[in-house]
Amino acid sequence: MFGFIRPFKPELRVKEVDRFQAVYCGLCHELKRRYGRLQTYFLSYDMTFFALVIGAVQPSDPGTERCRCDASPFRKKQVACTSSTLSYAADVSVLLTYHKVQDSVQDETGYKRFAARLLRRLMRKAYAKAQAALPALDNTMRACLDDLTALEQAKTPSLDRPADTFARLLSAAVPADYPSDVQRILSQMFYHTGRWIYLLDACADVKDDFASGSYNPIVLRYELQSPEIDSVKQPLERTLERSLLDIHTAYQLLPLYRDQGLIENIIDLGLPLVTRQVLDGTYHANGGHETHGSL
Amino acid sequence: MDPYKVLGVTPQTSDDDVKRAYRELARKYHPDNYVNNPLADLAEARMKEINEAYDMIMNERNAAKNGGSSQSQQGQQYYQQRQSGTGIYAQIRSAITSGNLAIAEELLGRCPTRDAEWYFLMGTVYFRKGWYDEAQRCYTQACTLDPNNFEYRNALNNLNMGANYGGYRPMNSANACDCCGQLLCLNCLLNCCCGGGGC
Repeated sequence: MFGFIRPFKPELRVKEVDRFQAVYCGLCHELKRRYGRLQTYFLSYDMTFFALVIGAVQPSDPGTERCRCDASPFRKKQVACTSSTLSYAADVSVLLTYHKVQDSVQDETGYKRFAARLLRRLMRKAYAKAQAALPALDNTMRACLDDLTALEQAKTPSLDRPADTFARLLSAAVPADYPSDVQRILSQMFYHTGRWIYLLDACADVKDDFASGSYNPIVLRYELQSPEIDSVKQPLERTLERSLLDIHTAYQLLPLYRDQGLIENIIDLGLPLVTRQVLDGTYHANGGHETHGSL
Repeated sequence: MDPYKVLGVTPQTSDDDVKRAYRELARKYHPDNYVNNPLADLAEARMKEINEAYDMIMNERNAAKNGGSSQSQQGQQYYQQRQSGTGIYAQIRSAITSGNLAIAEELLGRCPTRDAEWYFLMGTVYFRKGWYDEAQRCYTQACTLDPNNFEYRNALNNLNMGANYGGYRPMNSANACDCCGQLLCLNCLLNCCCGGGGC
């Protein structure tokens, strides 16, 4: 995924910063434990958010422990203990990473394609394990991505059609063993999270895609003649805001056991901020600093 | 059901604060915030629970105060969707209302003519699916074909300004654009008139 989902730090409380960090580290440790070190390099804030939300609707939480890791070998950090939600999120993360690499193998050219091929080879074992753990989800992901490829090849001039494929993919990642109401709410929440991620990513890529001639739904939908999105900023903002609203209204119905403040911060402040930054062209990946796991 | 837990208050909370907590929750889960939302039924159930909890607390307190029962206010205000049209469009409308979007979409695909109502209904199907850009395109087309139809115009306005319902204005905090602000106010006014006035 892309790392667009992050909290708005100035409004977070200290314990919420610690909690986010602990879940991030917990997911990282889980990935390393189950799938090896390589997978931890593909951990994103998006998956942390996913783990946080699917964990918050579970009645029990195993708490945290103090651990060292590669990024912090000397000082022990608070790390969320392993749980069924963390290992589930780790499985989903591996599947998503693999399919993203697979996508790069298809789309990229030259050395990037070579790198993606190599990566895919290195990930094969982890992928097989995650696929065995979640076969139905893997099939759905594959089907959604095939739909997306078909839409890309047909140069579909629509925002919603391609966005729907990624939205369905993400909404399928909701655990199947949750109560049906909770599942419905989470599906709606992650459908629109997926739609938002896809469209925002398309906004961020307009310049690159315009130069390379790659498929970009925004360029085609608005028939852009130059790689600037200023002229269509308002309708884009509106349609993205609609998805944010749907995430918010779905979230309100979710029966939460913990982390309310943190999740609300991400949904109500973090996502709108990133939206604005991407549309204004002031967005920087990882908040400007490339530091591992720090907010 | 513990009514105090539902409203997030305690038996010691004053009447005014209970009312405030109730209003806050009622604003959050109001059916207007869930128009065309696939989770509308869950929001409605929550709203009912909140209303019942409030009634229970207030009735209990009034009974304790003056030994009699009294009526309490209810915040419910249901959004009435105007039903019109004949033949296939009526069928499509009822499919949409019952949440059967696949059937509605199939019926729309079979329609020979694409008039204003067709675009309006197609837009509503997209709206329900969360395909907001496609919905916007269809509603705009419906309004162009039939500029005087209030239903279509209202749908387009709701779509464009939907993010203002329930006080949730994610993009406005740092985007102090006067023109937007005015549009928001205008739209709120419009929605007040149209939602409550039964146009």
